[in-house]
Amino acid sequence: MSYGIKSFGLDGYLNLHSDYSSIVYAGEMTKNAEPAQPTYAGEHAITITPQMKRGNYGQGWTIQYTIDLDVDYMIPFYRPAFDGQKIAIMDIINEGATWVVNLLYDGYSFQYPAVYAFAPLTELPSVQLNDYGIAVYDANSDIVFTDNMRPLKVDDTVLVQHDTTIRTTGKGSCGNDDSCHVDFNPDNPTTVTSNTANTKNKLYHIVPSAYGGLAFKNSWSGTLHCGVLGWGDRPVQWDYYSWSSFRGVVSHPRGASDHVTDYLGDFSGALHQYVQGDCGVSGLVGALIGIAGALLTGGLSLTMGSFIGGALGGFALAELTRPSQPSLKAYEEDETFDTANPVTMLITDGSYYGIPEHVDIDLIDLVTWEYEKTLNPWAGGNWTHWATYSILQNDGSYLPADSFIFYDSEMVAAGMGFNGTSVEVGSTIYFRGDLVSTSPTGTQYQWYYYKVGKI
Amino acid sequence: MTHGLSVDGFDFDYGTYSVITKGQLTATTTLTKGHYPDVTEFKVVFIATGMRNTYDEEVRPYYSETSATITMTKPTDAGEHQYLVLGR
Repeated sequence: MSYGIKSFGLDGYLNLHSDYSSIVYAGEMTKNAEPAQPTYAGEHAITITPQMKRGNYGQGWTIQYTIDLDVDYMIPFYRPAFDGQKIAIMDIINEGATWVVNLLYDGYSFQYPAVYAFAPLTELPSVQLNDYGIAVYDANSDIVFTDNMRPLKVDDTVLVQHDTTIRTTGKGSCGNDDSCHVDFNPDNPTTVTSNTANTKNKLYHIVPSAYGGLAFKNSWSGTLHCGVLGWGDRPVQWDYYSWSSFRGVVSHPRGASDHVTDYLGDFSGALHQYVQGDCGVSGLVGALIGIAGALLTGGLSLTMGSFIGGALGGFALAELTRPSQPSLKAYEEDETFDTANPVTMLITDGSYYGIPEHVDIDLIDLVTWEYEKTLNPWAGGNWTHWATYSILQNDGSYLPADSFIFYDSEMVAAGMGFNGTSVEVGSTIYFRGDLVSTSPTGTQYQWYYYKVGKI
Repeated sequence: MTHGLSVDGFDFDYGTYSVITKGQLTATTTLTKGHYPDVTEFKVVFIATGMRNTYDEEVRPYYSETSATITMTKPTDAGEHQYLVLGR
């Protein structure tokens, strides 16, 4: 450096140098499409409900953010929506003057993290200067610092590496059953510690490298006797196949300096096929077995394009305006990829850039409570409530039993148990509110009627 | 504040990383630390410039560091990436 300016901090590290551009906060990225939770929906698909996506397949939400920013380099930082939220930046895509970030997160769909863009100051197409203060230019006359834009202040950097195993315990088993699902939930988190504590306002940049998948297969073929009224044997075959594809994610429990690596699903699927021949006709199964059999013998890889095309119609084409790709490779057997090298994570704080303090979303605060229990719906009335009941025992006590939810006279859910307080139905979450009335005691069933709310 | 940089009443007394160099990642990119005598600490950020192709078992680039150099490696099965070498 023969001329110019440089400044060092209290720690002796460089924090301003007229040869090097500072990195500045360039704005908050905006949600570009509704969060998606894609599943396989092709031939022989088994329905995977929203509850199963989370409960059996460990699946999160995929979301896309954009920002119009005419720069060649951009670093996205995210801020979790709640304490301990699992997040992975999956893709960072530059499309001309627009930057796209595809991100995976857990929680409810509306609990998506905030994402903030940072860029080298030299890259910004226009920079507003103060009428006073300091502006620094490099030898190319590009501005590298202005007191009008605070430079990226990194609180800490951490090397993050995911374990090679997604799940250590058994998955369970499914057989000839088109409503069965095994358990793919990851259970092998690891922890790395930084020198700065996690708070509501911390921002994190990391693009985890690790990804993989878990799979389960089961099948059977043979003959079943046609019985006394039939003749001979009947050939039978069934296949069951399910999987969940995972991305490496990181969570940042508040109040501690730990960062937890884990995996979160971005795409899942299950399929089941059962075929049988006619009594007395052998050798028919080979002709009858179709897609499922082909999938299990490697046909899946060979036909990936057409097979996945239908499954991802809503994912890649409709819900996300720019393409995104779930982790499709690792679902034929349990595998992980790209776990060999650690990835650098940067930690900063939103308060340095004037980003408003984060406020967690409390689900209950979003609920509007409803209660109607006049005439029953079959008599033209309106029921909107959460009802639980218990059953009279021989000793006179009541045994807690189960519950139902009626909303606008439709029974939208049942089977939450006597003590259930919330349930997901499709993309709607129902909550049990305050107790409003009870039925008389002494009868066979004691009913409790609560307010119900939904979001 | 005894020394350093204060902006609008805010003291940047720790860790304001600057961009030391940047570019499109090739198979191997090596940076010699001695060319940047004012910089004490280096970090490398890779920016994937497209969707990740997990079906082809794509892997991310990585970097290693010695007292004299930083070596950024783009494996053959890695997609296109930019790199930013940050320093302070």
